[in-house]
Amino acid sequence: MTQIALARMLAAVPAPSADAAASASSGAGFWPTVSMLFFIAVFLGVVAWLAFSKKERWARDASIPLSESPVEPRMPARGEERSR
Amino acid sequence: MSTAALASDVPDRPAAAGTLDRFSYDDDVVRKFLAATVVWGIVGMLVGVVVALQLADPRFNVGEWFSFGRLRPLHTNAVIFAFAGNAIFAAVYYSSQRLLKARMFSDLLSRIHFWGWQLIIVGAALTLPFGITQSKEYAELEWFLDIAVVLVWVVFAVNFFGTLARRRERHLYVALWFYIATIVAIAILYIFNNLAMPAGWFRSYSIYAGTQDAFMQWWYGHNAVAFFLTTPFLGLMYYFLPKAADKPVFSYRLSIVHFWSLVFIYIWAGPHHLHYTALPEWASTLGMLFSVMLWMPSWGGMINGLLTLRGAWNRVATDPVLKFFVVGITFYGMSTFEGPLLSVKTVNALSHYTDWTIAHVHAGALGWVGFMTFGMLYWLAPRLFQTPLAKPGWANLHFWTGTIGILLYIIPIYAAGLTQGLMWRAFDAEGYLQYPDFIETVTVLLPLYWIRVIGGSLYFFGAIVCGVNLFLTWRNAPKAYDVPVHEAAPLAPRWTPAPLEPSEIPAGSTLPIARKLDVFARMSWHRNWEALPLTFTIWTAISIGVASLFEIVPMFTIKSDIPRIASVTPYTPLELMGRDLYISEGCVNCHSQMIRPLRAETERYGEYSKPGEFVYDHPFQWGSRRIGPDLARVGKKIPSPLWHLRHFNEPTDTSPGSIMPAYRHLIDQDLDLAHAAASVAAMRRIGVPYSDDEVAAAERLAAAQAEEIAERIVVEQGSEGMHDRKVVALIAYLLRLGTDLDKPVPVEEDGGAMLASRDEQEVGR
Repeated sequence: MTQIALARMLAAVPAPSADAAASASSGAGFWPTVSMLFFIAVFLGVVAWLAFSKKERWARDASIPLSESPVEPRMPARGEERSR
Repeated sequence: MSTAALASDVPDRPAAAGTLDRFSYDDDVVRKFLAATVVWGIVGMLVGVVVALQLADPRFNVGEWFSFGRLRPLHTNAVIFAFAGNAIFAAVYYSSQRLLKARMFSDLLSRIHFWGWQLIIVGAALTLPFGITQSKEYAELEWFLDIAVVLVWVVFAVNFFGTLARRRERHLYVALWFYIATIVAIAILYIFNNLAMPAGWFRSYSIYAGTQDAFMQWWYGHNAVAFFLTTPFLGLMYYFLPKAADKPVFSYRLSIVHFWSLVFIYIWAGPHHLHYTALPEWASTLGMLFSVMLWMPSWGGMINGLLTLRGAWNRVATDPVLKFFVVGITFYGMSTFEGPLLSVKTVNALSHYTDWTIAHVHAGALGWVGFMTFGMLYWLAPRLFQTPLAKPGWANLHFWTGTIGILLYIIPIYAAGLTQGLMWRAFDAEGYLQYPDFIETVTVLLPLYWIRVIGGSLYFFGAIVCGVNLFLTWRNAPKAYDVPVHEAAPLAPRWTPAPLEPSEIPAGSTLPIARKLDVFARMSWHRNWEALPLTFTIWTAISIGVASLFEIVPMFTIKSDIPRIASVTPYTPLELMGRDLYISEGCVNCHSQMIRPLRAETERYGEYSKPGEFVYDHPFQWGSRRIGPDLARVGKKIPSPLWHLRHFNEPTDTSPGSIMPAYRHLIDQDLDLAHAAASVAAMRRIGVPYSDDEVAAAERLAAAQAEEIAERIVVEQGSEGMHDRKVVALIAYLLRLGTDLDKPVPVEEDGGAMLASRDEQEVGR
């Protein structure tokens, strides 16, 4: 990299963003941290509860789609279907 | 349990005390949605192939109505709302009835929902090619269609929640949670993002401006992906995958973590679409953090899906339904890995505005949404038409052409995206842009665009094969469908939530903390919620609402987030009309108006964009990709009206190698200045400070500016008589772009400048 190139690069670096300055002055910069901590606390609570709960308690709910109906639409075998 | 098959439907009928209810399901509406899915899927994918061709060779832009800028929104709307939308409704109507052991709440509402949705799609197909658009991505439909969407969505919600109220299965299965989240979230997102002020039957202006509009749009846009293309398809996965594999879901506990994490986290992630733009830094960082966290639930869901196939993997080789599902879920995993990656700011600095995003979107759309839909269609068709699939081998053909098609689509477009991003930021040894001419970064991509056409065509061919196969299956269907009658016990009118169970660990046998943990693990709060649809829906709404408010309230209340600039003034009436044309032609589909504070961009386009420059932009036009160069400062860079006129007449005259279509119709068509006053008045109603005099004189002011630009064209040795052509308005708008910062600061009546220095302009008042 030549000195000319370096000088051009330095000259072209933009000033600090006005948006960043505004965020700092508005006090909204803490928002990401508070939001993330709030979520992590709730998330860890739910995960801990599920981890300690017994798997068998959920077995019936997990099978609802498979036992949802005593009668499934009858599936005619090939050759058995009626003409339309 | 009765297994009698009746010739007609049996509506839900309450049973006498101690007996079972007899009921049948409304599969007719599912058949309708299935057919609509196939038809609109083929239409949407056909338009996709056409727009891919238009990028490879601009000669495929045929006429005014079929240019890329107008067809691209038609493609996205068709595949999202018509293809995926009808697939969602087919899945919801089929699975909800069976999971709830109840017929849909109202057959009439089901039909209103179906036909209403199809009419909206037809409305979109008739308006978008005519340039009737709000220009917000995935929210292009104009205000009258927006109202129709909301009404039909309310019909859908009433029908769905009414069915929940009449259910005979106490617990709501996980698929239904995802449907609830979809219905609630889409209602909130669609209404708030589309709030607009009509300026006539076919035009409206977003009530939000600039940075706030961009924020709202990507709060919506990202969550349209989340709650229209993800949550309903996860519901679909949780129902149809266990059915197809004949296995219960791998982990119900994991599905609880999956659901709540996804619903809570997704809504925060929108700002990652606006990194390094004029969005406040805190919002951008927040969007990135939550996007990275999305890895967790997304991969939880993918793992839950794939492991549901434990013990059934041997069937994947022979069952096309499972093949589609496995590849679909795999693409879900890949896309949801890549999404958070793209949200990291340093990665986004390279990827944003490039085709990388397009490849990412299509991996998700073709792989996840498309293949999950096709898997469901092949599973449903024999059951709904009560006859075996007409051509089982064709389903395999479809699978392979689709899979190869996806790969041929995304691989070259990933390469194109990386090529673009790297070329845009490349500097030579002297510190100058290595590719200063934007065209160089376009023409190099054309071979890759042709490979995309081949990939897209293969995928489209697969969809046609699917359509013909399902049509032949329908032809074999019986003249009258069997309608099985089901019986189930009605739910007791009152239900008491399970009480907190005491610990079974004897007191004194272990540490007290162990007993407390045992009680904690026995809490039944979630199982209770699953039995209480209203409670479940309220908590879902709270999860979505709280997350939204955490971002939206600061965005609209912290004034310093959008520092105003004294020299930025509202558009003139003619510039406003030109902006309307810019929106109608869909220029935003190829051109951004946002220079990021990155050296490669400030070198190429000029000073980086400030939030205060966009306070009168209803709607914002920052864009999301650069098939053409950024236009934020085009008025400063190319101040010649004749150059723009020649460019619209034949883009290659001024930019050899350009793939932009010609816009000669703007030169041929008359400029109707009668709309000027309505546009200015509508803008004033949403807060743009036009005076009464400016509204009253809008037409005269526009005519005067048109004359002035036409004279400049003549002075530059151009054609005469351009003052009453549409193109003059668009030129006026382009000449204005990026020039505000260099204007003199307005002087107040007492002679003092509003803001004395350029620094003050940037920081604002």
